[in-house]
Formats: sequence, C-alpha cells, structure tokens
Amino acid sequence: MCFRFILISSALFLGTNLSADQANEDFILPSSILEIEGDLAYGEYLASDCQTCHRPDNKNEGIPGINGREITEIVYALHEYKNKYRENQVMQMMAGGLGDEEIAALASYFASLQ
Amino acid sequence: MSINRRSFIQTAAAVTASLSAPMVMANGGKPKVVVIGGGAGGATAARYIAKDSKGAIDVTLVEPSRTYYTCFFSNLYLGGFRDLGSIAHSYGNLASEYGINVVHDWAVDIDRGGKTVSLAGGGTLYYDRLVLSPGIDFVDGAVEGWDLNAQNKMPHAYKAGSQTELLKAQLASMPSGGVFAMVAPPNPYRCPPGPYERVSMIAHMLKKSNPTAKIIVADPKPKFSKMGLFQEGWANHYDGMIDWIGSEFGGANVSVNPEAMTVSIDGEETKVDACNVIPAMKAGRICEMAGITDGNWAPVSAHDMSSKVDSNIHVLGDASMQGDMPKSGFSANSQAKVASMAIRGALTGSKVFPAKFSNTCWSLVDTNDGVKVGATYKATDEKIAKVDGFISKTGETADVRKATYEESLGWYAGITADMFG
Repeated sequence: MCFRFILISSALFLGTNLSADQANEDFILPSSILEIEGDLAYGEYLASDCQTCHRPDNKNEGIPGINGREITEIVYALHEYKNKYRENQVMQMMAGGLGDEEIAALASYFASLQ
Repeated sequence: MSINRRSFIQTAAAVTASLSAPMVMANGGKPKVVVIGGGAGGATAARYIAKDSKGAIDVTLVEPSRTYYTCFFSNLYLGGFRDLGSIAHSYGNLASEYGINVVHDWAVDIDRGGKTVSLAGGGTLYYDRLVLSPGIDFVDGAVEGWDLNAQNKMPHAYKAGSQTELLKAQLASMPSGGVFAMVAPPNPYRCPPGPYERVSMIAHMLKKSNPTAKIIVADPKPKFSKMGLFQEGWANHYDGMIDWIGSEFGGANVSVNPEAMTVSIDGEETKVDACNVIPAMKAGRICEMAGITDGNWAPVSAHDMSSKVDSNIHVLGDASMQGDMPKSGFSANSQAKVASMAIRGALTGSKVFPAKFSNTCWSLVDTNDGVKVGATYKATDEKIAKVDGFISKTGETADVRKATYEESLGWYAGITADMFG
C-alpha cells in the first residue's frame, strides 16, 4: 500500500502542523495517516524487532530510549526515516519496511510503555 | 511487505484459525518448551516465551555455561576496547525474573518420538516444543594439521571465553616484530565480518605494543564481508601491517603445524608467533544427533523457524539453514522472536502475525571508526528472503564513523538486555 505525503515548501502551515520532534518542516503527514488507530497486539510483536536496540529500561546510550513518547511523534519519526527525511541507515531501512498500519501499531505500543 | 489493517487482521485470523485450540498436553499440566543453547537465539526465545505466555508455558533453558561470553564484542576485548567482564552475562535474571528453569548441563540426546531430551548429568526433560539454538561446531579436518587438540597452541577463539583470553595472551607475548597469522573460514560461517574485525582489533593492539609486527591472513574466499570498508580502514590505520591472501593467491591452500608453529600457504611455509585458526563450521552437534541436519546445517521453514524434518523442533541462529540471513547474534535474536510467537500460538492459541526479520552487523576498524551492514527480510515458502539492505560507505566522515561506533554500543546494551533480561 502506498501513501501520499504532502510536501509544502512555503511556511504557510508552520507552527500549526509541526510536531515537537518533526525533523523537517517540509514533511507533513496527512490526517488519514495520523488518524490510523494502531493495533496494540500487533505493535507489541513488531516492537520486539526494535527492542534489540531500543532498550526496555529506556536509557539513551548510543541509541535513544523511545518508550512513552507521544504517538504522533513516533509516527512522524518513522515516516520521516522511511522517506529519508532523517539520517540513519538502520532506521531508514527498518522504517522502509513498515506500512502505515504497522507504523501506527508501533507508535501505539511504544507510547503505552513507561 | 506492507499490509493494510483489514488484510493483516484477516491474515492473522487465518493463521490463528488454522491452529488447533490450546493443546491438551499428553502428559497433563502446562505445555512445556525446552530450549537448548543460551546464546542470542536460545536466551531470547526462552525469555520471550516465558514473558509473553505469562506463566502459561513451562520454559526450561539448557545451557552448559554458568557465565555466557558473547561472541559479538569479543573482538573489542582483543583490541583493548572492552574488558572480559563487560561481555560476560549470567542467567540469574531469566530464572528469577521470568521463572525460567535454567539447567546448566549438556543435552546429549534427543528422542523425537518420545519428545524427550537426555542430559549428560543423567536427567530427562519432556517437551511439547523444542528449540535448538546450539550455535556452531567445527568441521573435522577442515584445516590440515589442526584439530581440537591443537586449540591451545592455535586457538580458534570463535566461541568466546577462555579461547579469547588465550588468543589475547598469545598476541601480547609475541616478540617484537613477530608474525601473527589467521586462517579464515570458508562460507557460510558465524559472523561474516568477524574475522576481519578481529584482524582490525589485533592490528590496533599490535600497533600500540608491537608496531613492527606483521599480520598474515590466509583466506579460502576471494572476497569477504565489508571488504572495501575493511581494506580502506587497514590502509588508513595500519598501512603495511596486514597481508591478506585470498583464494586467488593460494589462500585456500593452507596447512598448519601447531607443534612447530608454522603455517604453510600455497606451499610457502612461514614461522609464526601466534596463530588463530578459524575452521569451517557446522551446526552445533546436537542438531546432527537429533537427525534434523542436511549436510552441515539444519533446514527450517522461514515462517516459524521449525525444522523441515520435525515441526515440533525449531532451530535458531547459526545452526539453521534458513536462506538469506547471515549467521549473526542479531539474526538469531530476530529469528527467536518469530519462533517464540509461533510456539506460543501453537501451545496457547495466542495470535500469530506474519514473520519479519532484521539484522545489522557493526564492526570496529579502529578507535571511533565503526562501520555497519544490515538488511530486512521476509518469510517466503522457499526461504527467509532479503527485502532491503544498506552498508556503510567508504570515505564517510569521522563524525559518521564515531556515531556508528556509539550506535553499536547502544545495540550491545540493547541486545544483551533483550537476551538476559
């Protein structure tokens, strides 16, 4: 399944659409993606792949802890990696293999953790 | 593969529906899983099955070592970047936090008909599902002149611990301007970049303590993992110290004499002061004893890592023949999660999702000069198939290389927490 993200080169919508952790102001996700309700059980399974590196104790040593972050922040981060708006080969690859539903599921799961 | 919500729910429902209701165990009581081997595959599988089944499955982990030394990062110990204690892990948490029955013993026989495992200490374990994650053993006669009797004179150091300590001590005792030789293994083998990261770490160590020493690598392969990146690093950091002899230059025609401490490469004999022989590998011997190997490895289904010979046995990590994934700790950890989900689904009726796998291998070339290679994979009916991948580029900035090294430190902390709790 593909999705269309909206590139807005002007500053028209800045300030209203940017999330705190959005890496690039030109990268705006449509509400159809942001409003997907993530499946927690699926997110838990998918997250096990992430937890090889992102530690359950949430420490930031070399690789950031991501537990308890806002859903929107995680959704943005993963879509930005997927579309190469964020640098990191591992994350670009990992996010590159995720569909919108999978990203939503992961975001819901990690947001639910302490 | 990306799937939308509806199709994934249908897939999951179909997979779940195809399973029987929670199994009624022949021997009564809770279903039993026995895991043999407490490394990146086995420890992860034991922990995930115990954690996610929330007490519904009895999990026993059979591992002879009370202290586990990770093979990954053991090269950094050789290079002086880690101490041995930092790569040592106990199974205490798996027992106390996750209720896993940790048995320190050797599995010596498997009765697939009776679903039992015999232990060297005399005990017998019953299983409903068996997980084999024994890692590697060496192929007899793979390097002429070398066998396990010679491993004290010419260590393999490819199962971490005392062998790694021994190799480090021998390197430290080399005379000024002495010669270290490595006999590299043929494909497929555990940790494809491992021998070359090791060469880098030994060069780093010798450059400081013994800068006129020489390193010779006899390799039966014409090329190797991250070759361009390692060769760039060797030229940048250790110029003139490392002589890599690939198969095109006789690197496959090797014999060793551990008594005389000589290595013969394509007929030319060299006296060496330390020698690391990494022979050809095969699945840990228990796979062969279970009768589930085809050649040197144990073929598995990509969907759930179950043996193609016996669907009640799942084989993880280095021992498995699965397709495109390299034999690495990361791969074993990734495969363990797929197998754990499938085993829970079979034994308790929990939801089963389509398998996904990933791997990344980081290597250190010199201080703050880290490189990496990685890929994602999916299950097909034929094999675990590569979907996408990346590799570090030659000529990257020092900042990028330093960040890659720091990322590897985070990964080490992450995967060991994922294995041992």
